[in-house]
Order: sequence, then C-alpha cells, then structure tokens
Amino acid sequence: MSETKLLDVRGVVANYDSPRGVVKAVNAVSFSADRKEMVGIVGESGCGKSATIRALLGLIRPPGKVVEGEVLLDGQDLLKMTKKEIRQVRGDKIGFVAQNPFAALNPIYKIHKQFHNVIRAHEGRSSSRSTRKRAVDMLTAVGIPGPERILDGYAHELSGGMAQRVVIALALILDPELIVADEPTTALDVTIQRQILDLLRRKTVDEGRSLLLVTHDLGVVAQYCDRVVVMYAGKVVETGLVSEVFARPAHPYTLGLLQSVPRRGLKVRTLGGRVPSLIDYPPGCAFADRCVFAIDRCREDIPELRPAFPSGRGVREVRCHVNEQEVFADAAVDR
Amino acid sequence: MGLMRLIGKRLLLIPISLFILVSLSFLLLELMPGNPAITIAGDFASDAEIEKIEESLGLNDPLGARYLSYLGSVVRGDLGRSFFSDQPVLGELRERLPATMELVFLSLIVAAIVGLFLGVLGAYYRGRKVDKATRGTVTLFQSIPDFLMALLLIFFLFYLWSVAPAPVGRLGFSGVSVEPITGFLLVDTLVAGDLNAFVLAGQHLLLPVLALGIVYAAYFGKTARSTMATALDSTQVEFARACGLSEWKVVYYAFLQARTPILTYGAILFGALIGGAAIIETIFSWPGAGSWALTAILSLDIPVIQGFILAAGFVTITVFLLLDVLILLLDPRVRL
Amino acid sequence: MSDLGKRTLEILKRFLSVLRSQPAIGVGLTVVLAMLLAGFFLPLPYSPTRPDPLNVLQPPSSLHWFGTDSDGFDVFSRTIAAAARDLPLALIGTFLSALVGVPLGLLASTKGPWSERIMRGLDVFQSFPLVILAIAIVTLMGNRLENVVIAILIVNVPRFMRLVRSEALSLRESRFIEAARAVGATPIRVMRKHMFPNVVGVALAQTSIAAAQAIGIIAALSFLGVGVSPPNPSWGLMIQTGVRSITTGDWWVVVFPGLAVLIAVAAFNLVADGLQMRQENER
Repeated sequence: MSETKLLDVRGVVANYDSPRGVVKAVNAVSFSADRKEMVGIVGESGCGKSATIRALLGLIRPPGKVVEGEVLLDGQDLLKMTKKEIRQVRGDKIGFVAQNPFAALNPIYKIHKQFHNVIRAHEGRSSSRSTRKRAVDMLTAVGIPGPERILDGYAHELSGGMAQRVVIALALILDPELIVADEPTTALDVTIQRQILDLLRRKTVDEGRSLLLVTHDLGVVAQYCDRVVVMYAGKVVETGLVSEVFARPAHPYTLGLLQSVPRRGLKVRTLGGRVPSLIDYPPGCAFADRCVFAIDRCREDIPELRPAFPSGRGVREVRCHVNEQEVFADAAVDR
Repeated sequence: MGLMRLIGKRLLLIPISLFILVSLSFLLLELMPGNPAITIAGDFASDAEIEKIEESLGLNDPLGARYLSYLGSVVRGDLGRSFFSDQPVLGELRERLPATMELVFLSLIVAAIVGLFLGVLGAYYRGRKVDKATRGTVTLFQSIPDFLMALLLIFFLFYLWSVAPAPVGRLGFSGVSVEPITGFLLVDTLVAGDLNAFVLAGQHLLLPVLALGIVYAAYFGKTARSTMATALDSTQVEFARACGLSEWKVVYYAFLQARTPILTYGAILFGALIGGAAIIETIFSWPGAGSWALTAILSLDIPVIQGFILAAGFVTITVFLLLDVLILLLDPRVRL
Repeated sequence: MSDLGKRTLEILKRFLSVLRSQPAIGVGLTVVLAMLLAGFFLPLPYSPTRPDPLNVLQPPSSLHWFGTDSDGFDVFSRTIAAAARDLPLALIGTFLSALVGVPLGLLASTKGPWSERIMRGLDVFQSFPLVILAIAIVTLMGNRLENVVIAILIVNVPRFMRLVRSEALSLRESRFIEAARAVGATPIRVMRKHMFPNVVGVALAQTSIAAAQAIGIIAALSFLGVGVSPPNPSWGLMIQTGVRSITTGDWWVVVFPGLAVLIAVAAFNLVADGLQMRQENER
C-alpha cells in the first residue's frame, strides 16, 4: 500500500503583495488526490480555493508568489520546475477546465485552430490534418455531435453546454493524468450541469485520471466527489471521505456550511459574520469569531490539523480545538 | 452580405456628414469677430480701400445668399480661391494633403511600433521595475512638445552627426522633381523608377517622422498598457496559459483582444494629426496641409480654412469607415 | 475645535496619506511650486525684457549661465521670468475649466435625450486638433493674452464634462445612489453630497493632465507668435527665437526654455500618473 499518490500537495503557501499589506491567500495547504478519484475543494468565495489550484498549476502571477511548499505530481515537484518545464506540464499532464467557457475560449480563432495551437505547443510541428483528426476524436469522446462543423466554427456560435464540452476536450486533448476544474458548472444551466459533471466523472474514473473539483456547491460534492477538502481563510480546515464528512462533520465551519444548504427535514441555518481579512490574520483560529463552539483557547492559539473520528473509514483530519464529538452532537440535534 | 450593406450605409452617410461640417464651419467663421478685408488691406488702409476689398470678396452680400452660393460651388467641386495667393483652394489641397498624409501615416507607424513595444512590456511586467521604466519613458515622451523634439532631432541628427539632411521640405534644394501620381513621394519615386529620389525623399522624411512618431508613441503606449493589462488578466489568457501555450503565444492571444481599442486610438490620432502636424510642418518647411491651414488661420484666409476643415473632415470620416470595416473583418463575432 | 477646523485637518491628513502612498504626486507638486516661486521671487542677473545687443549668441558661461540668444537676451533670466507668466496662465485656465466643467458634467449626467445630444455635439468639437483649435480661437478673438485662457477653457471644458459625466453615469447605477434617492434625497443633494465626492478623484487627475496640456498649448501658441507680445518672455517664444540658431549649432537658445517646458509638463504628468495609480489601487 506504499504506492505514491498521483498528486500530493504539501504545505503550499502563496502570498499576494497589495498596497495594504501581504495577503496570505494560500496558507500551508496540504492535500492529495489519487487516480480514479474526484476530490472536491469547497469553501466560501475568497477562502483561497482558486488561488490553491492556480498555485499548483504555476499560474500565480505577480504581485502574487508561491513562497513555500511542494506540489508533487507523480513524485515530481512542480514548484521546483523552471518556467519552461512547468509550461510543458500544463495541458500535457494537467488539464484545466475553466469556469466560464465563453470567457476561456479564444473568440477570434476557429475551434480547430485552438486545438492545433495546444497540440503544437507540446509536440512541436504537427500537420493541420493530424491535429484535426485528433480534435474530431476528442470532441466525439466528450459527446459533441457533428464535430467537423464545430471545428470550423467559433466559440460564440456554441451553446453554453457545448462550449464547456469544447473546453473539456481542449483540457483532455493531450491525455493529462490530472484534471483541475474551477467551478466548471457555475456558469451553466442547471440541466446542463449534470451532463457536464457526469462527463467529468466518466473521464476521471473510467480512464484512471484524478480530478480536483473546486466548487462552492456542497450538493455537487456530495453527489460526485469521493473526498472533500474544506477550506477557510486560506487554510484547510477539514478533509476526509465525502460520505464521512457529510454524515459526521468535525469542524464547526463544515457543519455551518452543511446547515446552510436547504435539505428536507432539516432546519436551514445561515452562517453569520464574514470571512476575516487575509492580511491581518487573527492570532487564533480564523473562524473563532463566527463559531458557536468557540472557547478562549480558540482566540489565542492557532489550531493544527489533527486526526478526527479515528474509528471511521478513511483518513479524517480537522483543524479545530473543540472535540469533534461535541460538534457532531450539535448536528444531530437538528434531526 | 452584411459587410457590403454596412459599407453602403456608411458611404451614404459621408455626404450628409460633410454637409453638416461645411455648414457648421461656414457659420462659425461668419460669427467670429475679425474682418478679413482689414487683414488683407493692412492696418493703414483707408475705409474706401477696405470697402472695395469687401465688395470684391462678396462680404457685403446677405449671409443666406453667401451660404447658398458657397454650398453650390462646393457641390460643383469649387472650393473658392485663397484671399491672398488667389490660387484655387482645391488645387492647393490636392498638392498639400498627400504631403501631410505621407508624413502622418509614417509617423503613426513609428508611433505604433514604439508605443506598442513600451505598452505591452509595461503591461506584461505590471508593477515591476520594467513597468516603472516604460511608464517613465512614456511620461517623458508625452512631456516633450513635438516642436521641441523636432528641434532637438535637428540639432543632433542634422547639425552634430549629419545623418539627416537640412530641414527644408520634402526633397530639399536638390532640384530633383518627381511626377506626382499619388502625391506620396515614396510611392511616386518608385513608380518612376528613380531610386535616387526615393532615398532623398526618405531622408527628408526621417526627422519629421521621428519627431511626431516619438511624441505620439506616448499615446499608443498608454492605451496599449491599459488594454493589454486588462487582456492579460482575462480568463482567456489564463486558460491559454493553463493549456501550456508558450508565453509569446499567450501575449499574442492577449493582443488579439486588445487590438480593437488600439486600432481605434490610431484612427483618432490620424484625424487629429492632419492638423496637429502643423507646427512640425512649419519647422521643416514641409509643404503640407497643416502649415497651410495654420497660415490661413493666422491671416483669416477663410476659403482656405473652410477647404481645410472640409478636407480634414473627409479624411477623418474615411479613416473611421476603414477602421470599422477592418474591425468587422478582424472579429468573427461582429459579422452579421 | 470648530467644525471647519476639523474638516480642514481631516483633508490635510488625507492629503498627507495620499502623498505617502504616491510620492510621485509630491515630487510633481514640489517641482511646480519651486518653478512658480523662482519665477516670481528669484532675483535675476539681467533684465528679461531688455536685450544687450553687444552680447548676442554667447554660449553658456559664468556671466550668462544659459548663454544669450540672437537678440542678446540673457536666456537664464528669461527662462526663469517666463515661469511667472506661462505657469499661472496654464493654472488659471485649467482651474477655471474644472470649475465650469465638473458641475456641467454632473448636470449632463441626468438622463434624457438632451444630455445625450449635447455630448454628441461636444464629440464633434473634440475631434479637432487641440493646438489648431486653440490657435483659431485666439486669432479670431483677438491676439491677446487673456484669450489664451479662454482658449484653454474652451478646449478643456468638454473634456471635463465628458469624463465627469461618464463617471457620474456609472455612479448613478450604483446601490448607494439608489439608496439615497429611495430615502428621498433631492437631485441637487444627491449630486452635491453623494456624486461630487466620488468624482473628485478623476476630476483631480484630469486637472493635472489638462494643466500639462495647457503648458504645451501655451508653448505652441507663443512658438507661433500667437497670444504673446515680445519682448515679454514666454518659453514657446524663446524656443522660436532659437529655431534659427539650432541649425548652426547654437543649441542653448532652444534647450533651456525647452527643458523648462519639459520639466513643467512632466511635473503635472507625474501628479496625474500618481492620482491615476491611486484610483487604480483603490478599486
């Protein structure tokens, strides 16, 4: 069982310099993802989930900077790579699916030209005919009818669902091992959302890839992901199997998130307060001010990630001073 | 086809725009104080002399009659004669407008190349040392009045280093003459197969083109920096990068987004420079439309002023029409 | 402390914090102030208006720091003295433009077909080249100094109007203006209390851009002999004197007044850049 994980993120720290001070957008984030596994990264907007995936793709641009940590893909540290090496990894080993397909696709180039450019960037000279053939195959594989016609058209002629399929096809054209999807369905109709997520799940599980799904939609995580990473204020506050975390949340923030989703038979509770500023990081737990369980220690002493519910399935970790049984007991009261 | 219909519609609009322009310029010049008859006759002329000149210029006719007769002759292609030189305005325009257009066109190319280089570099390295350096350069270029730049270039390139010829006209005192076909000397000399004259024309263009080009590069630089900075921050550029495209390609993707506002800015500058090059033309004794209009304004030579406004308006409208067509051809999204 | 005193202190504090975050603004303002003070108070070695025909085209020396021109004027004395003419003219023209343009722009931001039509008309006006327009105005209105200020005013008011209007239009869509209107604030109050403070930033930046342009326009006009009366010193006029000399290598007649224009324009551009950067950072 000592086989290495496909992706292992260890203690990544990314800062942004702003006129008002240093923003700690990603604060010692660690998690991992295995083949045939979908990992959901959830949290409110501004919690650092987007910055985290950009850090591992090497897409953090000045004034931002990754200052610490390791991102191991197949045992290779992406953060130690030169600009040229990481560029070769992007697209080739990691495919990226953007949030809004119309914003992501090039509006001036025909779809074929965009496939052509991606293939050429990694494989050098390739004939237009060969890139076309591969693009047709890939478009068919992501369920696009009449791929020939699509290739000669432009992005704006597509429907939202079709455009997102094209984006996925572009992300998969070089057969990457890891797919990173940043809120891939938020810009789409609800009916289309399912199809896109089903497609992503198929491409991940059936073809032995690994997928990171960044979302704020807990329903999506519950339905599609195997494991979940909950982030708050730039830090991971809880990780574990989706089935475990949703059944027995160990962190008060996770509990709050779950309670704020309307579900049959449960009272909806909203999370009061706001995410703290990432510049003046509080001396203790960043969630303490919004937390109903907070004790004095929470405001003085930053909690570390520790194992939770040791008797459950899979590895559970939580970043909280409060005993997880207490949190779970409160969750049970609502039922 | 959508493109043809748009061009047709815009071509129809040209005479209407020109009519409004002619009427407005006629009225404005009428309303302004100052009597051209006095300017022509000089300060010491007697009332009778002034009266006589006013009579000969038709200044005593009622406003409406003069407006109609002016409109009538414009339609017939007669823009009147200069109060001073007595030359037909249209004939002078035909000679002088191409000289200005050649200067402006080449200057804008230089300005675009220098400005885009500075602007794209600044946007790419936003907030870092390179950005500060390019912004400083742009601010410096912007702060130099064009005539000062011209004089400094004359001092260094003509007087000190003798790289450029003396600042006198399009061909200097060489005695070389070129049969005007397009009016663009660089083109006409090549058509005539006169390589010697081509080089000569190029040498004389060097200094004024550099002076205008460097000063106006600042405007391109500013526009390019802000539009490229936005484009480089866009999802499209991030996605291109996430697909592993090279940085050159990524910057090119951003440029595809940013080019429309930059082109538009170029068109605006083109229109502005037809008159705005006037001082440079004066310094280099360039026989262009700008210096011609400048002299006309200073001496209240109304037919010339009106002829210039009409010509500048016509060129500006045409350039904007070409711009719209170009944008349409470049962007698949706007095709109807 | 009185209410007024408190507000002054508040404004002063904000000003200082702006200077701290954007030092370029402070540098630019200091340079302009220094030039103004020098122009008005610096004792001059020679008369700026009386030439010395025995000393023409002297290169810079310990006697004539910036040399003399072809008429025998001392270039140093004239360069400094011109600051007391050219800078105040530019500043007065610009401030008057802001004073007229900003309220007009706010008024033009009210919805309706007329404000749209007026702006279209101004667009036509703005497509004329700046310098040509200014020359035409001064020539047609009479070749006098005051008319230069009027030319600057006519050139700049439409710019202020357009800028403030577009800023105000986007503000009108924002929530807090909606909220102010919902609680029954009168249109004038909305404009004065809610919109004006929010357009001050862009208006200030535009003021320094306009001041930089105004110096350029004044230099161009006096270069062409419009709006100035020799032998009164003006930078553009001095550069014009030097045109004849520069082709024979006597560079100092052009270079020193030229540098003065350059420094003054660059100073205002620095202030404008600083103000714009501040706005960019605040968003």
